[in-house]
Amino acid sequence: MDEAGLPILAIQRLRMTTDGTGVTTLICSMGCPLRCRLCINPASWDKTVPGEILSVDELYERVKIDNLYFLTTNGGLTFGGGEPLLHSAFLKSFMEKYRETNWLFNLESSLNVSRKNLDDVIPYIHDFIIDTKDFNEERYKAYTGGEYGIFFENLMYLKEKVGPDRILLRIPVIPFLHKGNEAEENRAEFEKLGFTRFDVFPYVNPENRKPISEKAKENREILLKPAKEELAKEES
Amino acid sequence: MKGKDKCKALKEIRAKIAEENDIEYVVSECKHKGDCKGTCPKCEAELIYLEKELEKRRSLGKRVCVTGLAVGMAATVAGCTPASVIDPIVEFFGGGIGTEDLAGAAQPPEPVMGEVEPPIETLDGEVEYVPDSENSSEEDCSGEDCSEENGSEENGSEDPNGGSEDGKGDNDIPDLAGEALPPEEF
Ligand code: SF4
Repeated sequence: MDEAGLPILAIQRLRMTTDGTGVTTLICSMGCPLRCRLCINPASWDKTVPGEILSVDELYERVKIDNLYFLTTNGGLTFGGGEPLLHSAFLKSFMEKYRETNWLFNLESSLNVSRKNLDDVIPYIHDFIIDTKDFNEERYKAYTGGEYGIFFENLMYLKEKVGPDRILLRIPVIPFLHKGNEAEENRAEFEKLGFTRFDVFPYVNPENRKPISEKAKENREILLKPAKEELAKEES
Repeated sequence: MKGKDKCKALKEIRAKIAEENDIEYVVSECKHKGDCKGTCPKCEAELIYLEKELEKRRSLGKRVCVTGLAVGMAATVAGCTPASVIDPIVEFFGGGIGTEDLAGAAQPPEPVMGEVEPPIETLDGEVEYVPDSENSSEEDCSGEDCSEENGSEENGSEDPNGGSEDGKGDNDIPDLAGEALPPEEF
């Protein structure tokens, strides 16, 4: 069944190699099943903004201006969020209707959704950018509040379906969660499973980049409070 | 990547499209001081002008050369965050990545993958791109990625309509170039 409209947090044009090859437009949709403690886009779930609902054609109208940039640079649209796969029926309708544009469609997802949602988009997506958060189940749960098994099984399923070449695994170094080389160890574990493309990068404090809500701060404190207490103990 | 650098890269892409398709186009010089989003009404008018010129060429049965023309042009100018050299704990309370340039002026941080950036200045105005004269050259371009007006299955078509004899799409996709907003509507 088609979703009538996509609730949008933001559409950001002219991003260059930030979210995929070439010039891309990032389409951030509302809603997320996770509550990552250092979420970079908390406005997608903290209810501080209502989001704007766009139909398939309205979304196309908003992004078509960059058609020439997309085509000349092998760029296109990157669906992010929030969790874009919460709106997989809409994405499927959009990509089905506009696949003839020859734009590339990328997906940035944490895969913490039902299998059906993932199946909806697999035939249309060029590059899957997967936010892995953590390979370790306990740390994954502590950091995201979500179910590790859903993510992990979807990830392995995706690899079976599209192969590792079309999957970029984002491996964050998470302050106050990862100790020593844990992020690199995460990468090594994924490598053992046959994944080949990685982006190991540090998370930063989202508040250093833009104002965040009290709700997002509370969510962040779940990670920071014990870490700060531990630091204070060590110092005294 | 600063907006100005982005703007420069996009200008180069537009110039390349014009050159490869024999479209008359003079890259305009930006007089705006300070940073921007990488585009402005004037740049948008130029982009729409190119779309219209390409559409004209298609409807005359001429070749157009677009797909993959500027691959790598965006990549060469894009900044990359040197993730491996940043200590996340040190950076955590310290104002993020790249918030100051060498002169000490505040800079918006580099966007990270998937991140919604805070808003930057928007340049408003009404501009229309007017070329010196209409270009009626019929020369075909010789780029490797060129495809015929009708496109072939093998090469794919850069025409968002899928390309067909009458210049209209064979599918439901609304006409892109034909529907471009006139610059005065920006
Ligand atoms: S997956 Fe995590 S970081 Fe991404 S929007 Fe959801 S809560 Fe935020």
